[in-house]
Amino acid sequence: MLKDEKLIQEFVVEAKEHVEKIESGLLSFEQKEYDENAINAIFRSAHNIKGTAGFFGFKNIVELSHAMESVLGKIRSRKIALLFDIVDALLMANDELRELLDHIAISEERNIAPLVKRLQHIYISGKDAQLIEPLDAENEASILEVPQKAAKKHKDDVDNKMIRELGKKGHKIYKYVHALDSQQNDVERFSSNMSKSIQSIGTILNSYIWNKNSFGNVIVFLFSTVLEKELAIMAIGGNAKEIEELSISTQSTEIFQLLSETKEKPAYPKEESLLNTKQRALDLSEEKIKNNLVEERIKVDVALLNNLVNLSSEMVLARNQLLRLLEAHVDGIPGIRPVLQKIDHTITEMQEKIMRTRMQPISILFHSIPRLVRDLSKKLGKSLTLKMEGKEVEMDKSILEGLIDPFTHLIRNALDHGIEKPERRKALGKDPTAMIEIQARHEGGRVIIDIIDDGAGIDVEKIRQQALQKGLIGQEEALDISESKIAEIVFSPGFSTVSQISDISGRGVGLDVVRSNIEKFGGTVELHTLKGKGTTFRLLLPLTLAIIPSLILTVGEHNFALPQTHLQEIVRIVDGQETGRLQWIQGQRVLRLRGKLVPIVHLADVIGLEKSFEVTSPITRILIINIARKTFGIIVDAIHGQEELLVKPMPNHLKEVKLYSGVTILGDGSIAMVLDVDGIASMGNLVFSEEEVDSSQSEMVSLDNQIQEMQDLLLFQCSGPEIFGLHLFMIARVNEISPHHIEEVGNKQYYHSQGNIMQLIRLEQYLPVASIEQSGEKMYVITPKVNNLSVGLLVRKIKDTVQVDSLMVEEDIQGKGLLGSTIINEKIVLLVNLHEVFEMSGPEQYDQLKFDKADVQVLRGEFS
Amino acid sequence: MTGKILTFYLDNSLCGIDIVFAKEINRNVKYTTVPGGTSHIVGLLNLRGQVVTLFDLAQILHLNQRQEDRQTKCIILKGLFQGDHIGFFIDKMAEVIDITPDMCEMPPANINNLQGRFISEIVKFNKEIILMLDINKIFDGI
Repeated sequence: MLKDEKLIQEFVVEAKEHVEKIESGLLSFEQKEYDENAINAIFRSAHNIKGTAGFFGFKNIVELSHAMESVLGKIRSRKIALLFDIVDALLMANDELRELLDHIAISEERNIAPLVKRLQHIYISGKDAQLIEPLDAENEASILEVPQKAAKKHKDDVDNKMIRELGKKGHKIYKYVHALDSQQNDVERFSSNMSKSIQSIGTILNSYIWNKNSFGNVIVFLFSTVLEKELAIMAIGGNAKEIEELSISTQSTEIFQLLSETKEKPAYPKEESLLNTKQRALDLSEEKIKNNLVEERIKVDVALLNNLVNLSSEMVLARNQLLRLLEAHVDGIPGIRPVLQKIDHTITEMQEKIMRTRMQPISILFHSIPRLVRDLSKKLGKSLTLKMEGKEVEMDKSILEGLIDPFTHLIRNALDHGIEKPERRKALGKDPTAMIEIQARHEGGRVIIDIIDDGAGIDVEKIRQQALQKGLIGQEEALDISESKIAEIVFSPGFSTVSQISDISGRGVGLDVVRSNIEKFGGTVELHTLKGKGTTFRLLLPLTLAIIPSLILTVGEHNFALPQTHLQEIVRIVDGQETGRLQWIQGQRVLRLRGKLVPIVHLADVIGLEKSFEVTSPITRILIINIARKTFGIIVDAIHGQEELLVKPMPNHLKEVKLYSGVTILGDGSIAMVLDVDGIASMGNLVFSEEEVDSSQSEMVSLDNQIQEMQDLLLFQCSGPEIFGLHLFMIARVNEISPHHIEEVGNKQYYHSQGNIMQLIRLEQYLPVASIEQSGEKMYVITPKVNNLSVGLLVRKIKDTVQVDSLMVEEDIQGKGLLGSTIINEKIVLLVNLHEVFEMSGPEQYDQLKFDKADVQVLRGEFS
Repeated sequence: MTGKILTFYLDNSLCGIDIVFAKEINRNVKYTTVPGGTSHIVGLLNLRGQVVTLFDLAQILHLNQRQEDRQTKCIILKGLFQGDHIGFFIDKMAEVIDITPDMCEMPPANINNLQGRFISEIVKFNKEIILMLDINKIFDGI
């Protein structure tokens, strides 16, 4: 039996709830007719009690609840009519169940056989056996507290109560009888020594010296302790024959007799007062336990808690607004600053506390591990020590509950595959006793749990072989396999290196399930392994489910939030460049991403929004989503950045809309829908076959590196030596032309292109740069992406395209038509402001274009 | 029924609800539409941290479709319907009136169609006729 009192307490609290449910359910039958839901609920409750009690080894509770469950099962399947006497029998059993739970420590000692018999009879015959009469008589002896009966005899309520209390606390009562030789004149010393050692392990209830005969005295101690008999003997140093255990329920008469013995003189003189103080102490400790129960557990409706969480974040929002509004006036109102400050702090703290109401310490998860490790190591013939750190780390209740299975899995794996047998460890020069370490800690708003073993580690060679065999990787890939790739393979479904399937692990369903379980609530698993040294699994988990880091994005006029959990990277494609990357296959878009084809959907298409064909930005932004190893891309209009969002559930009236997983309130108070990537995949008609899933496995790329949008610049030279830079996304195409195709009309130069006449602009005519007459044989025309404007830049030489992650724009070189300058590859590059250049070259034409200022702003914004 | 009712116009129909259902009346609300959602749901509103689902009641009652720009006034209901906070747009507020049973009549037999389902009684008030809406039936039924 597990001796963990806290766990048992939890079980008792939970089981009592079920008992209440059973009772109210049963009682409801007396009022109305058979109700299927109610009977199901009762059945489940009984089943629950049985299951958990079995785990703790409370046989009586298991037996009784099992008997109830079977009867209820028959009622449920309508094999037994629900008559009043059957309800009666069930209620009685339920009462007994409650009694057992109330006195959990002595539950094993109670006699439940008559009740079980009665229920079994009902189960078999479908009728009550009318055992009520004899049962009641028996009840007197068994169901009612036995000491009570004795108490009647002795009229000693104090003793009675005390014994019961002791029983409740799991104390056992022992009688110690020691015969003293007559030669032993140190009776006093012996008794005082003995009483001291007994007191160190328990409580002396009574003691006396009995003049047995002329040869010597008999010293008798009646004491109680939580220790088992063997341990008690060891502790007080007695002889096994001298100590007798007295069962509280069956031998109470004897106990009471002994308690009231006052033959001769007491061996331990202060027994009366001691009893009293002990009694008081017992009362006190009982009180304490009760208080603890009350303080530790107040059942609060989860809906109410969530409501509080919502309200608190609303309060924070309102506070921010208030502070902003009052900022300007604070100095004008004397004494308001400290008040505001106080409100500020109080609200912050309050929100923190409210968020914590859903948090529970991780020790709940840790509780069952020592047992698991012990049982498994025994079974597998491995010896190891378990170290656990960070029990106090708190996280959301629902995450904790979801962690139990993956956790068990990982530990099982470590024990079964990771850790070698002691002999092998010895041969390898390792400590034969292996070590499993579990460390939990907070880090950067996340909970990190490491499961570290010092076992054999993962055999990369074996993984490689297996992966090759199964075709998970190619030949070349196998030669140079990275740790992350190994992790990927290990976590893939159906993968196992164990040749023999044991009942513990090795069926290859394990790690795959672990990963998907953890990903389900937004966590990730990492794997680090060193052959011969050990393996570390690192679980990175969010603190709570309610707050999810998300990207805010826009399609049309709608804002959406996309949880970053499944976001792998953001790809940015500029029209006209990299034309090969985004392609159409049968009307569907696909993206070539590192050699793989990734299906792409436009968010507007999926959610049924009118797509604006007036594309303002020539950049296509694609969010690459990776969910359960399915990869696809979503095109959005704009990405605004990242926010930590409090996600609220979808209104029930919108539940059937599968596109969204929830609703969130953005910083400005407006509501945004939270996109559900799974829903989008299915709405976008993305059907992933198994092979596709495998082939689309992409490298693990850390998001942080990819989230930075890279910017591409085209570098070119005009007639002078200056190097100009132009953003690639502003360029539609670049053509090579020969100078004699340029025609002059007036003082302007034109060029035919695909039946259109294009005006050519030489930057050197408008910008403050050198203009040198040169006649080369080749010129280039850069066609900017400006709608309906047939204007091109005539340049002499295309230098290069470069990718820069952020541009430092220097304002040193200024002039109309220039955005500024920057240094690329140790050369000064002048950044062209196309709009200003066009304005200078042909104001009339430019005006017609109705460039809206916002657009220009955006384009400029990209540079800074 | 007896008691106070809140009346308002949906399209050209004068409708009423028992005033105990009404929590507040909001003007110029800023709401978010739900693309891909059902058509009788106009959008979601942030009401002091609560997400309120806003309905197009005129559409549910098969009254004439209102103009987009008229969607500015809404009545937010007290309590939860299918677990949601509910509100709906109206075209024009009317007054709060006291009604007595003698003013009420069951809906005439000929309007017992789809929209009639949601009308609990007809109130004759001065020269006008008020359609009493059965809020529970409307918002728990859809």
